[in-house]
Amino acid sequence: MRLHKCLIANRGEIAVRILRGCHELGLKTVAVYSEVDANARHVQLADEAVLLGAANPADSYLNIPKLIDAARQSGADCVHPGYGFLSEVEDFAQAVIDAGLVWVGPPPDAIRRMGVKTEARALMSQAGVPLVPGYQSEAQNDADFRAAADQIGYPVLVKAAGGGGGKGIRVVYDRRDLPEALAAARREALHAFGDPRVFLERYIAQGRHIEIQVLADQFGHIVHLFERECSAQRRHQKVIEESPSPLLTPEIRARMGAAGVEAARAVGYVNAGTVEFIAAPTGEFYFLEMNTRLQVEHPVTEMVTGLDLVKLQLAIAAGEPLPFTQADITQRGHAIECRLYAEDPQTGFLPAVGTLLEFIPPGGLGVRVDSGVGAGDAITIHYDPMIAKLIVYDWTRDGAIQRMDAALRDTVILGTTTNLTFLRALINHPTFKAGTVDTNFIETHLTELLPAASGLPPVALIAAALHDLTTSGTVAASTSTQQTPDPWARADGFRIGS
Amino acid sequence: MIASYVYQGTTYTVVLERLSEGTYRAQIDGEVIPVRTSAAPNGGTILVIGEERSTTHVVRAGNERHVAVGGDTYTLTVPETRGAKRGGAGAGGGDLTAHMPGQVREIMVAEGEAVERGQTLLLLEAMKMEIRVTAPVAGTVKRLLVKVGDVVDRGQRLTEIG
Repeated sequence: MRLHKCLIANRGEIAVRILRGCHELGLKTVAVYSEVDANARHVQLADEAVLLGAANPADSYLNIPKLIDAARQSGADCVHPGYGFLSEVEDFAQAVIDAGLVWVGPPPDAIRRMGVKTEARALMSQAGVPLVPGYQSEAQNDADFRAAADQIGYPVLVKAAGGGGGKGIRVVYDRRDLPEALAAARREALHAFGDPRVFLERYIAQGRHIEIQVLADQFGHIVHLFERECSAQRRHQKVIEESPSPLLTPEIRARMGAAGVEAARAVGYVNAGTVEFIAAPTGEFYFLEMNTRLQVEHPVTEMVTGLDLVKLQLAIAAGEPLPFTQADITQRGHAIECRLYAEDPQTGFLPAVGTLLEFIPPGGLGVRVDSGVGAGDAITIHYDPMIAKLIVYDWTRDGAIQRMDAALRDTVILGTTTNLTFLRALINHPTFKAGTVDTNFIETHLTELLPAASGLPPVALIAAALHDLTTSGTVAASTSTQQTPDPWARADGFRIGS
Repeated sequence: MIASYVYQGTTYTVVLERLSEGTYRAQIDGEVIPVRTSAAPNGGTILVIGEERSTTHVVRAGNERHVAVGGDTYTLTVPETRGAKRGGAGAGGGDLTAHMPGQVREIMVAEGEAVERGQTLLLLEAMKMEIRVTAPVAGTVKRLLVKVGDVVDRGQRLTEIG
């Protein structure tokens, strides 16, 4: 089957990324947007665009009937969901298929079975994929959880059964804290996934988050595209991702890749997916969950394998067989991705909204920038505050770190607070350079990663004055030192809970 | 030119004199700093101070000057010259204002209720993050100025505690 027109049920950088893939393949594209996104990049770049509704995702990017209508009206023959929003919602995949359209993603049944984390664990156990020792039950009885936690041994993780992405996760170090953690995790899980069920897992100390990218066609061919390490996380949200993982030996890499393929096979997977593992420093690894969609961090895999995951997804959806076998795929050089966010590391990483007054992305050899915004665009409260993904490639890991440092220094973003300085501190930290960052590293070393307030350097002061001197004569040339601080800029009288 | 800017509550003053095309003399706290400038290809300005060469970008937004230097950014404010008065109300009281824009997800207290210092009053949600607003002082909730589902702006008053 030949695909002609793709509706992209997403926004931001991933919508732009998918648009590029479609255009390369000669597919027409349909963007969808909410009222606040009328002038967004993904709308401008698409061949046509359909307004869904208000900014609130429930009225737009999460509204299945409106999306199906948009696909029908525009004459699209396939739908790519991107990541987030409806990408892992079985009902949306089914609605797309029921409307006679091609779903650029896995079968709805695979989404459902991997989405219910407890069911996924049972399935992986049958398939012989290693699992973290844990406990799950339908009864959800606190007394049973307490007994099970005692048996597993503290610390334990309380996790949401209904979905992943770090939502609903609690680490419990002391058995006295378990009831409260169960209650809090259930609340968060209910809010995030509409399902309050939780389960327990042993907490792997100094754990490393390493995931395997898999690709499967409709004929049962499954390959892996090696690993990505995403241990640099803050509150279970990935900050930096890289490939290869500095932890893995060729032998462990091969075993983990094979386990990823087995996991995909067990669930009848088709299209691109990611099997996430937690690895101990010794290299033992255990299945965490499978993300049944394209990942935010897919570019690092594209850089080291030279493969275009979006184009492959579209080819698989069109019914084409994989154009290669496992032996054809190689992992060359080293790639690192940093997620550039509008957030303020100094105030507990609160999202920082505002208009990008200036956005000059870095460039040069081995530097890729995936972004859905430009100068003049606003970062609003409605959506994820990611400004861009910076991806670098070099022959060695050290070279890639150097290149990332230079790329971060060359990036100019004005008008909103960003995590640029924090990212530079992180990639230049001796532990990151040594390749031994674990999933707790950022939280436990936060003070080292946040620069102490050191006042205004003379160069910044001179730059501002020079700008005022050369651009207009209207500068307030006052030497007065009296000033009234902006009450809104003060952080007192308002405390942020943990 | 003499220019003053406020950065993180501190006022910085610089005297800047143009000597010739691309050559300036800056004076900060009595120290004289020779500066050479040239245009950067991406719209910025390259400043050479001593041995240090920096690419800088400045954007003006009202009385703010947003400055980028080698991956670091600084937001400077031009001080208001006419004895501006702002934010008199609630300076020492228990007014609670939103620290960032968001949506009110849950309100845990009612008007007239006595609250303790640190007690959670309401939950705001923005960009998938939950932010707990707690009482800065012990007292009574005099007024609730928002309801669940309201979208609030940065600086908007949420409750009054007296």
